[in-house]
Amino acid sequence: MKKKILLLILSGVLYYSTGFSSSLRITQIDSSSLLLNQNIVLYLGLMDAQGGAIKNLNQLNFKIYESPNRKDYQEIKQFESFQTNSNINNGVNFLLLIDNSGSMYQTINGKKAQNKSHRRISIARSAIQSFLNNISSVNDKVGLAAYNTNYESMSELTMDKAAIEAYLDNIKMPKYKNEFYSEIYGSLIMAIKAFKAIKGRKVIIILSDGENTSLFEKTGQPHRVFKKKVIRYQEPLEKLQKQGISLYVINFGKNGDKKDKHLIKIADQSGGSTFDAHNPEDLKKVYFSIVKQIEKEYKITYKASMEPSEKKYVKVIYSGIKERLNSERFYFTGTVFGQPVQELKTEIFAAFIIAVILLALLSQIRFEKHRKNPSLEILNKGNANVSTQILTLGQDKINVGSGGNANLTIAGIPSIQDNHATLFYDKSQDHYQIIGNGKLTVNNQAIVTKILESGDLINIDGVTMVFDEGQKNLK
Amino acid sequence: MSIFLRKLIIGLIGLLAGLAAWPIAEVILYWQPLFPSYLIFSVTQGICVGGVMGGFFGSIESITLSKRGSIIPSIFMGFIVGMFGGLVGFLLGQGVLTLVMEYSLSNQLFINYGIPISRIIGWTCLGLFIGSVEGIRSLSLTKVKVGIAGGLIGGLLGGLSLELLRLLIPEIMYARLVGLLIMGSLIGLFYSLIEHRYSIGVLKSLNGKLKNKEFLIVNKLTKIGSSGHSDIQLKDYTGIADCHAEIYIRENKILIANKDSKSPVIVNEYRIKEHLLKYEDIIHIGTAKLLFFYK
Repeated sequence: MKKKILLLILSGVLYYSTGFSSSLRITQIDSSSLLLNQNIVLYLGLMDAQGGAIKNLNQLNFKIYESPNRKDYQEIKQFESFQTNSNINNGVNFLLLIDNSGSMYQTINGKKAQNKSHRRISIARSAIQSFLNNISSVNDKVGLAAYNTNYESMSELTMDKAAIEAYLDNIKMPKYKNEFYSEIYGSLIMAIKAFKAIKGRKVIIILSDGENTSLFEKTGQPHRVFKKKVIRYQEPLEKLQKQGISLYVINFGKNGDKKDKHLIKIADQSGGSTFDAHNPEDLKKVYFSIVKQIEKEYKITYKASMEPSEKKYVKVIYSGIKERLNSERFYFTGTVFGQPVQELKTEIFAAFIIAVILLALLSQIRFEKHRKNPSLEILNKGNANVSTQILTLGQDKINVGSGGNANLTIAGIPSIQDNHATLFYDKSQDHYQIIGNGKLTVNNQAIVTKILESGDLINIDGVTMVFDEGQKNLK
Repeated sequence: MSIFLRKLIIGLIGLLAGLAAWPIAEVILYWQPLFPSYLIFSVTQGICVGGVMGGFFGSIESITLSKRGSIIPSIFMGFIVGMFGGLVGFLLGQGVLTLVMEYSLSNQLFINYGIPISRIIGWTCLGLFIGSVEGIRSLSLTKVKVGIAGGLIGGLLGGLSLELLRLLIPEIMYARLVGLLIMGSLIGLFYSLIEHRYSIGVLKSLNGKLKNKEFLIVNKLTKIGSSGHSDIQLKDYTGIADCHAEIYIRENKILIANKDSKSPVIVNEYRIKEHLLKYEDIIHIGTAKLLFFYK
C-alpha cells in the first residue's frame, strides 16, 4: 500500500524529460541463444504519459515483425513466451556510475558546502543506499563506478549489496585540477566493458551534474586512456546498442543547471530514459522509479526468421485502447560463409562435376615412368660432374670412369680412375655384370664383380647410381 | 613420385576439394530461408562442405601411393570423417561468430573488421578439422597432428584471403570460390609441408612398377607388405608377405624388423631380423628394393 502511494506521488513529482507522451522502447535484445535454440529475447519498456509502467497487458497487445533490409517486414506469428515481471524473477545487472567531478563537492545550488552532508556526492551516496534497499530481487547484481576526468571501477557486479554500500565510502574527492572534468562519454565506454560476457538484463544508471568535458579538448593535455582522442557521444551509443545495455540518465542539480544534451539521445536510443532530480528526495525517488520501470518490463521470446542478412531489424508494435506505439532495434545474424548469391548459375553446379572429373583423371595418372631399355640412373652425384643423369645401356660393354672415352664420365673426384668400372652384357644369360677396376660397392657391399639386378645401388666414391634392367624388370 | 611431386599433387587435390565444396556451400546458402534454425543450417553446411572436402582429402594417400583399388573406400571414409570435422568446425566457427557478435561488436571499426576476423576464425576451425581427415582415416596420431597444423594454417590463410577479397573488392562475385580454392590448396600444401617436416625418413623404391616412388615415413610404426592395410603397399612384386616388415622408432633410432619368418628381409645383402637403419641402406623385400635416406 505504501509503495502504491509512493508511486502516485512519484508520478506527480517527477519531471520526465523524454516527454509527456506514452512510449514503447525495446530496452534490450538478447540474441545469445540464436545458434543454440533460435531464440531472440526482447525486453520491452512501456510507459504511460506520466512515466509510470503500463501494466497488466497480454501478448495480444504486441505484434513483432522482422526484416533483413528494414523494408520487407515479416510478422512473427508465434511467441515462445510472454512474461511480465521477468526481471524480478531473473534479476537485473545494474551498474551505477556516479559523477565524481569537482562540482559534486559543492551544494546542490552550486555553492561551497560548509557541511559535508550538503555536498552533492553525499546526497548521491545516500540515494544509492536507498536504491540498494529498494531492489526487490535477490538475483539482482549491482556494480559501482565513479568518474570525473578518469573512470574508476569501485566494484564489479555483485549480489552483495552491503559490499556496494561499503564501496561508496571509497569514492574520494579528486586531488588535482586535471581530474575535475567530466569525461562522460569516455566513462560510459569504460563502464560498458564491465558487462562483457554478462547475460540477461543489463542497465547502466549514470548520475551527472553537468556536461561532457573532454580533457584534451579543454586543456590540450592527453587523457590517461584516450590520449588525444575526443570521444563523441555516438561511440558509447553504438556500444550500448550492440551489447543490448540500457542507459538511464539522472541529471542532478538545481533547476537551470547545464545538462548534457546528448545524454538524452543516448538514453532514448539505448532503450533507457532520462530523469531530472533537483533535491535529495527527488534523487531517491528517481532511483526508485528506474527500478520500478525495469521491474515492470515485458519479456518476449520468439524464434528468429531465417532470411539471410548481416543484421536483422525487429519492430515491435503495441496496440492499446487509445494508442498505437512502436519501437525498432536490430541484432546481428552473420554466418561463417556470409551472404548467398542472388541466383544459382549453371557454372556453380558445373564446378562440382569438373572437380570430380579432374580427381578421377588424377587417380588414373601413372606418376612412375618406366624405361624400356636397361639403364644406369645417377641418384646422387655429390661433388662430381657427370656426363649424363641417365645412361641407356645399349652396348655390350660400358665404361664408367673419369676418362674422356668413358660412356659415363664422372669428373671432379681424383680417386675415380679413367676406367673405374665396366659393365658387360651377357647375351646368353641376358644379364649385366659389373667388374670394378677401382673401389666400388653394390648395395653397400664392396665387390670386385657382381651380376647386377634391377634396383642394385652402385656407389663409386660417393657417386651413387641405380641399375635398371628395363622391360625385363617389370616382367 | 618424388616428395616434391607429392606436395604438388596434395595441393592440387586440396584445390579440387575447394572447387567441389563451392557449389555445395552456395546451394545451402541459397536455401537458407528454408532451414528451420541457424543450428540446423550450420550443421547441414558443416556436414556437406566438410564431407565433400574430406572425401577429396581422403583420396590423397590412395592417389599418391598408387593404391588405386582403395581410392573409393578412402574417399568414402574421408567423406565420413570430413562430415564430422565439418560439423564440429562449422559449429565452433558459427559459435565463435555469434559469441563475438553478441559481446564484442561495439563500433563501426568492428563491423568493418571484427566480423571478417570472426569469420576467419570459423574458416580456421573448418580447416583444422578438414586437415585432420587423413590422420583420423588412417588412425595415425602423427598424421592427425600434421593435419591439424596444416589445416589450421591453410584455413586461416584461406579465410584471410576470402575476407580480404571481400573487403578490397566487395563486388567480386566469386570471392567465396576463390577463398575455398585458396583454403583447399593451402590446407593440402601445408599438410604436405608439415608432413615432410614431421617425417623421420624416406624409402625410395629402386625397381619395379613403383620405381622412383618415395614413401615418407611419418608414423612411429610403418607397416610394409602386400596387403591393402599396409602403410607402404608393395603391389606388383613377388615374394612379399601381407605384413612383411615394420619400421619403427626406439630410443630415437629408426629400426626395421622382419615380421614374417617365411619371407626374408635383406638389408645390404644380409638377412636380418631387426636392423638399425642407416643412411643409404638398401632394403630388399621380395623382389622390391628400397633405399632408405633421411629427408
